[in-house]
Amino acid sequence: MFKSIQNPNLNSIKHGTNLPSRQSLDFALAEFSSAIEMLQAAKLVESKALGKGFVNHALDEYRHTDFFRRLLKSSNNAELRFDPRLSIALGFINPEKFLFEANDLTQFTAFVAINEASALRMFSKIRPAIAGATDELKNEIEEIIDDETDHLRSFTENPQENIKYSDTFVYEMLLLDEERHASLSNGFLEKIASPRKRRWLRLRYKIGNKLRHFWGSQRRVQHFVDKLISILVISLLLPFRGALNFPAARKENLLCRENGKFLL
Amino acid sequence: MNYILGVSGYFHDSSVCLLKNGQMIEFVKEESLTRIKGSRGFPIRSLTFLTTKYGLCDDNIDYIAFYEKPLRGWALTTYNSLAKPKRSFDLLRSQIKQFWSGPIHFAGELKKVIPVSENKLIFVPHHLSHALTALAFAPSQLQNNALLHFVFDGIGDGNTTSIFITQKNNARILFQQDFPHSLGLFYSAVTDYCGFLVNEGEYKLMALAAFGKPVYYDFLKEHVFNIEVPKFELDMSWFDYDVSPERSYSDKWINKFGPPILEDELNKMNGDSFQRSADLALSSQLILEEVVNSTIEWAIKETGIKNITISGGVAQNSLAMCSASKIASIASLTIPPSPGDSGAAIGAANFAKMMSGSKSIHCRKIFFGHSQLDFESALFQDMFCQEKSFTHMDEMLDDLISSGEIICCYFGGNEIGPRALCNRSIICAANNEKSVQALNLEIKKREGFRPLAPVMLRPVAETWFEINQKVFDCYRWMALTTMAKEKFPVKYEAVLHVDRTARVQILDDEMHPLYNFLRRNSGKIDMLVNTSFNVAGDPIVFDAIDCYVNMSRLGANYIITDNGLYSLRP
Repeated sequence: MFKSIQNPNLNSIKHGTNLPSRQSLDFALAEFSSAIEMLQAAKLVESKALGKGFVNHALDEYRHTDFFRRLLKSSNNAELRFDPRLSIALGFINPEKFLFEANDLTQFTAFVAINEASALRMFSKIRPAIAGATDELKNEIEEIIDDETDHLRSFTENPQENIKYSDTFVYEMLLLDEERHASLSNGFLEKIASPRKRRWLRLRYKIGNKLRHFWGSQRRVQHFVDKLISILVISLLLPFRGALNFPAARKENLLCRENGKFLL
Repeated sequence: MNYILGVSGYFHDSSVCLLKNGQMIEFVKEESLTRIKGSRGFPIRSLTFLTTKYGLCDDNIDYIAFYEKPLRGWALTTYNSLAKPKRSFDLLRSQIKQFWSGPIHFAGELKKVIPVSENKLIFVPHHLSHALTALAFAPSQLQNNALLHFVFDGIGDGNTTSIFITQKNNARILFQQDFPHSLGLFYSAVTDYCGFLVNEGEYKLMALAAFGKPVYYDFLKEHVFNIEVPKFELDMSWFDYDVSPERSYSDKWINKFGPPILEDELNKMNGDSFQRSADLALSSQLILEEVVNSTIEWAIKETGIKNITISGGVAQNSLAMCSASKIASIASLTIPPSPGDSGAAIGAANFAKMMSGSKSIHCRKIFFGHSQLDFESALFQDMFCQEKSFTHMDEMLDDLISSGEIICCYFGGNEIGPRALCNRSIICAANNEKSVQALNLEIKKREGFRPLAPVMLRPVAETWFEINQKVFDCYRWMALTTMAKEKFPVKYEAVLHVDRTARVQILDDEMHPLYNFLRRNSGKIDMLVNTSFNVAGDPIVFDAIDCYVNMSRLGANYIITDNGLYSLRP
């Protein structure tokens, strides 16, 4: 998973409790969005090896989506249902420009690495919630963590194969995954990317993530602002209600240029 | 060489249709390219795809027709909501957001992809787009005659039901019903209550009806509906869809019918929740059929016109279409292969063609576009291994299907409607119950209460099913269900629903490889089971990578294509 959820408040999860359904839905959507992004990248990338790698990565993300969807269903919440269209409505995906189209390969791989590391940390925090789940679900979350580890390892251990076009990626990935790759970081990073580019990409994604997580955690503020603006606009609209009641459609021949001219 | 584009978008199932010299040559659904089922924004990817492929620009485009009046629907819904601002606050909030990102901005967004002059933009009334889509699929000898077009919908431009009369290049309104009294939104509310996604799970509710008893029918008719043909009114205290974008049914509905049902509870196919859903599904189905049928009978009596078409979202209810097809006064009935919003792009393009005096489009084809498989590419060869070339695959294909193998199909262009019709399908022998069960439950992971659809040749269909000749064409694209005859062979019973109906597809394209398969194996395998080539909840496959990803996820091994039989490389 390299699409981060908006509100990763996972520290409060108690041992033996269920993952809140809202977070199961967020994770499912983030995994699904990652699968879609990888699929689109596979369709656009020129290298056959990279294309196949992206396809396999997408397959893992689809499997993870299914896991979180089952977790969501097991929470028996009739209000929250997985709908793939939510991935667009909630801003996980911008279908006008997928990540691979909006970024070059270097930026794309750096983004994936940074967020895969973050996903790994988040999934580790879910463990207490899974303690109360069935054996089947427990095994699955372990498999997902293994997969996320593999995604990271494949980028680290085979840099020539996976990221030969993307030196900066390795740098960014090492920085963010210090715990796992402390021994490699310092010397390697200096070799592969210019300091200016490293600083820029790291700052861009880290600050971006922090801001998104901060804004995502401010649900009450969002709700208040949203409500306030709505009340204002509705109050302004109310006196003009009558102007919105347009006359019924014309009765004469509808198949004419005149009938197709206007927005009304 | 001039083009007309028809565009649908912003609500659900965005799509683009392309006419070249007055003939339809392409139809692309946005979801095929985004890989997100029901993609409903501005169809930027479909437009970009077609613009790149055909070099579309201001010089070679005559018109770009949008499938609705962008401001009208918004204004009328907002007008209704402002009447009770406190109760409708959530809906108003959503309406305000839609103003900034909705169809009102169509022209601006379009300019980013294809900069065309403003006088080339056409905004077609939504229900007229539906009706003109249906007209495109009506028999050619009837297209210039007087035709009655019924549009049963959720909502479009503030209307929910419309009846049009067309004759040559003239179209007029006979009747229109306005929001909030909507047959489509009523059915969606029941869908929502039964735990399915609105605009997505309605076909599941329809399948569920076969397990129910009409125990709520009288109640719905007495307390929820007020039918005064052709009008009907809903008691809106049972619904919330006119005040909330989140939930379609009201607390009053919950108090009467019990707590909302979870989709998972239905998969067990027993227990109180399952029976309650099934009973509600059947009761709602019967009410819906009653309104549809009585409206049709009224209009035929009123006008004397007996050749009709039905379109709009409700026309996707193949059970209701079967019921409508039995109305004695109908001489011919056309239900287009894509009667919903996605297909309305065709009607919009048809409007642009007809408004200048040209004849309506006439479509016999149900597949558009071209294969997106590049058999020579390195990636394709890395993912698939050719077992047999096209000319040598018959024997192996026969053996595989006879032995119970489940096969994916990818031929030529895409289906334009929501149903896979053997070009992007997964098939198996219908007389192999084990394979049918495996395909339904293990591979596609469909709910046990939904049957798979059979595909067969015309003589077989006429022998074993009650085929209604008035709607014969519609069986080519599975627009309606039909009842099995009494002598229906036991070995094929796996394709029948519990009420002994099936949504039959009659394959009549003699060039289709599966047509030839069924002819070769006549008497041995007379029917195949056909389901869409996708993982449940995802769009149907579009290109080679989609085929590989979907086959891997589904656990399918073989795929037949225009270039031969392939297996998936591990």
